[in-house]
Amino acid sequence: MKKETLIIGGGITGLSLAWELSCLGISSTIVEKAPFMGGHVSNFACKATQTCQKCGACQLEDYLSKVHKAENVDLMVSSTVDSLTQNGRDFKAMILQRKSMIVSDKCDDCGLCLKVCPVEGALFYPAFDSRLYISNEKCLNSIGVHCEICAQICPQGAVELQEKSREVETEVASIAICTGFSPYDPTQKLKFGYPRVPGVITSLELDSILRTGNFQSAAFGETPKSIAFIQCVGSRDPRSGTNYCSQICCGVSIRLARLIKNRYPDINLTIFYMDIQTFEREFDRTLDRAQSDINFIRAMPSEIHSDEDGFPRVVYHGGDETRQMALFDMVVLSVGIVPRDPDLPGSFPGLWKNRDGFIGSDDNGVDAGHPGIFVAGAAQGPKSISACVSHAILAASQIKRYLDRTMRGE
Amino acid sequence: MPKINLNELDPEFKHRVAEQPGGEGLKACFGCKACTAACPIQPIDKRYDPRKIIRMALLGMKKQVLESDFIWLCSSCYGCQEVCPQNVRFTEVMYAIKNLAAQEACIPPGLTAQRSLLKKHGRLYEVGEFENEKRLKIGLPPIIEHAEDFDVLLPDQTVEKDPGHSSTFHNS
Repeated sequence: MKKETLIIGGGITGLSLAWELSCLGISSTIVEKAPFMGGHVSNFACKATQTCQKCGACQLEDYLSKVHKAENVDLMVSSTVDSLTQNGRDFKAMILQRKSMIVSDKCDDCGLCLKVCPVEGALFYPAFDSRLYISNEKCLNSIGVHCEICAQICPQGAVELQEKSREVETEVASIAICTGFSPYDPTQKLKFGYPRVPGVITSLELDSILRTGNFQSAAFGETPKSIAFIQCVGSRDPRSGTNYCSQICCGVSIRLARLIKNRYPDINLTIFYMDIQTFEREFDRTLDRAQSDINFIRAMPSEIHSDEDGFPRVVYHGGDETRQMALFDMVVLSVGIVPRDPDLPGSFPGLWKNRDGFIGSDDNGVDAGHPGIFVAGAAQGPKSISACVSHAILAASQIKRYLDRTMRGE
Repeated sequence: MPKINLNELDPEFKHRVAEQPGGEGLKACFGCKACTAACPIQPIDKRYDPRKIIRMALLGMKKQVLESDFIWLCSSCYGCQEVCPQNVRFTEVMYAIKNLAAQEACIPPGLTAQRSLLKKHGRLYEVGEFENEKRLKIGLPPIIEHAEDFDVLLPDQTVEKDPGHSSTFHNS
């Protein structure tokens, strides 16, 4: 059945956009590459202490359940858009779906498949679920290499591999690009020792540790006694090609630090920063509260290296004009948002990228420059969860307007 | 903390440094202190603090920067440049500042002596009969000083202040 809007990306933006469109009576198909909906936000922990910290992570589950109930939304996981062609005013899209999966009813979690899989990360546990998933991007079958080692070894016969992609051709009147962002790759910063120095992790990894439960259950081992956060890793960094503020990292780090302080009051917390950038309403109050129990140091470390016992040591210039070397049990690199290459199939000459490499938009913020193609969320520029949702609402209104106009034949 | 007299500041100074080749990045500094934490000189001599030198240049403390001897302490290890997120390229900025200091005739005596040695002998120390005899004994060819090349490079002139920019410099 023909849908009116094709939403590329099933993260918080795609889901909220589908729901808003559904409320306006517009049907949509969400195409998501991963084997589950939710994108990055599905790995984020709720950061409430005694009170809600307004991180927005819970909005995902809210929208997921709404979208699942909605009648005019099609969800396609493990799918990619293979080609897009203009067809009059409409677009013709070829979607490839390859749904290799592990049937959760049969799987008894023995871990044999994990041991034999030749590709790291092809079988994985997401932070929100104790079930195993198959990543269709990394699985060897996706690049045309025949491999069924996991299916052969599974004693329960729970692995269902799909070698050939199912081709779905669909015609849509409009397209919304909600492909989101990629986290900055901190291995580019050799001096920060990721992943060479044990105990140095990214803020996304810490978020999924806290989402899964606690430090003991994570691969990290025991609960750390001191944690340092380093801000602006890959943000405001022309040398890495990211000469813009990622807007979310200060809020994320402060919320994570307060969540940790709330769960483990004995952990010492330090935040190294250049300057705290606030983009949220009433953020100054959050900051004030955080300053009472978190140590803020205004200095960027020059280096993180491993000491004799294998703990990360942070070298920075202290307030008393001397060089400090501080030992921590864990160092969290607060990585920024970098544009994800949306590799939009098909050529639409109107589409452009802005100075920072995000998908460009018109003055109204969601028109991508080609009639019928819209952009929403972090694909258009760094955004927090709530900013993504409001951007999706704006996109929904503009899509409605566009569809009404084309219906009238303008 | 020593007081800064605003009347003595030269607001044009930062633009002059930024005009120099290599000095372009000066105004991009955020003051994050990564350079200072990476500098091998700073723990030895507290006066040489990259972040502070940038701040002084941006404030226009021309006299204090150019007449100081600490700007000559830079070891050119490029450690600061390596960690700087804003691409200030501080080692190059330091060269720009030192070039300005040379234009203003603020070269420390040690460097002037090195210049005259270079001009006279073509190298930073004199190679005499004694050294060459020793080289001959262990089978090395003698060193010939090519002072004439350096005579062209370093013409006979006393380093004069650039009259166009020096008005505020010696009045204070």
